[in-house]
Amino acid sequence: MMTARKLSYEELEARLLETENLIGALRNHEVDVIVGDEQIAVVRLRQAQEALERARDELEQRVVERTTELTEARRFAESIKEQLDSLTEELMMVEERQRRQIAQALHDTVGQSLAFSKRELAQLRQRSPDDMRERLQEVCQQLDEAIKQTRDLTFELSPSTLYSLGLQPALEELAEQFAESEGFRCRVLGPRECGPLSEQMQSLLYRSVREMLVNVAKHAEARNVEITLDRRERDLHIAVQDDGKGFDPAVLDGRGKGGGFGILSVRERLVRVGGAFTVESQAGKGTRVTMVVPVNLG
Amino acid sequence: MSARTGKGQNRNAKRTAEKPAFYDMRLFVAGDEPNSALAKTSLQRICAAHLEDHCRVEIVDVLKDFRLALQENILVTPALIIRRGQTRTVVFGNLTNVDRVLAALNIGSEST
Repeated sequence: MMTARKLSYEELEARLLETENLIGALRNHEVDVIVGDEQIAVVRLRQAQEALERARDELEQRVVERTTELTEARRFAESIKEQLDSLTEELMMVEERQRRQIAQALHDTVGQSLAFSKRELAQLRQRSPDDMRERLQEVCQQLDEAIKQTRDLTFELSPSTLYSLGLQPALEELAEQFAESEGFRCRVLGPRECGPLSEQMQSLLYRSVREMLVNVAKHAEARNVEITLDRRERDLHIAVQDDGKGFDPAVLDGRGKGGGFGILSVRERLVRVGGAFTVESQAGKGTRVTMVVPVNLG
Repeated sequence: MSARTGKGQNRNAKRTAEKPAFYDMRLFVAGDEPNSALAKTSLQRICAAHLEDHCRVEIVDVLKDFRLALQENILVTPALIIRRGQTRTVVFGNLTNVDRVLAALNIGSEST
């Protein structure tokens, strides 16, 4: 039977140093193989670690490249959006100019011809025999109707009051028209002078209010409508309030049914010029739409 | 496999004053694995610089035959067994830490 030899202090110290040395070599990846009783295992910890570091560096590089690509793509998208906004703005101006030109042409040609014809016909009717007078009266009435339709069309295309007298008088005229045609009471409150507004901004506000009044006429079943203009420091607030049946404003965010394209379009246009658009409504309690635009103070 | 290192030179005269007569060394390596290759180069340099012809180095490749490693109770490579008289010291690792090898050889550090 074999008995273990008792080790001297020096031998124990040497073994301890050896063990510490072995642990150090393993920890520092300075070992290539582990020798087993029957086989040898090759250890490539350092290579594995280096490969891992290389893969990590590569990944980081790819992330940086991808981020750069995305940033460039975002910049490109932003520049496209700016171009699109600018084009939309230009398109709106062109559209407005064309409307004014058509309205002017309609007034100067068809309108004038109709007015002239009516005047001539009226004189002719006075000198005409009795049996023709009644027929001529009917034609005169037809001409009156055509003149009115032309005037309405001219007004709808481009309200001359807007450019000659300003936004508030044009809105008053609009309110009168709606009151007359739709049967609700409509009035405009607020100062006559709304502050410096570009023609483009005046036109945008006028058409926005008109769109709101069309909506009131179509859906609200209102009896009273108030258009309030309120100048607050650098902004102009215009509110259109009715006492109609109201609705759930959630339909406007696209989740509900029948979200009005007109309202969304107005909102988009106002936001584009640095303004805001809010709708407050509740079933049975009417609707208040507020439009805010910055006033051009130069 | 065995190798003799170094011809007599006087450039390390200061350190050779403490050198014992002879070092019998056995370096266990695994072919040309990175640490084994480093260990061979490092040991060759240490022998040339500090031991001149007062040593004998046998290089044992465990990938060819590992029985000797088992006999010597060597569990990992690279491993250097240094025999000086009755004393047996083992140094593990790639031997790039020269001071550690010199300490095992009982020779002063390079930095002192």
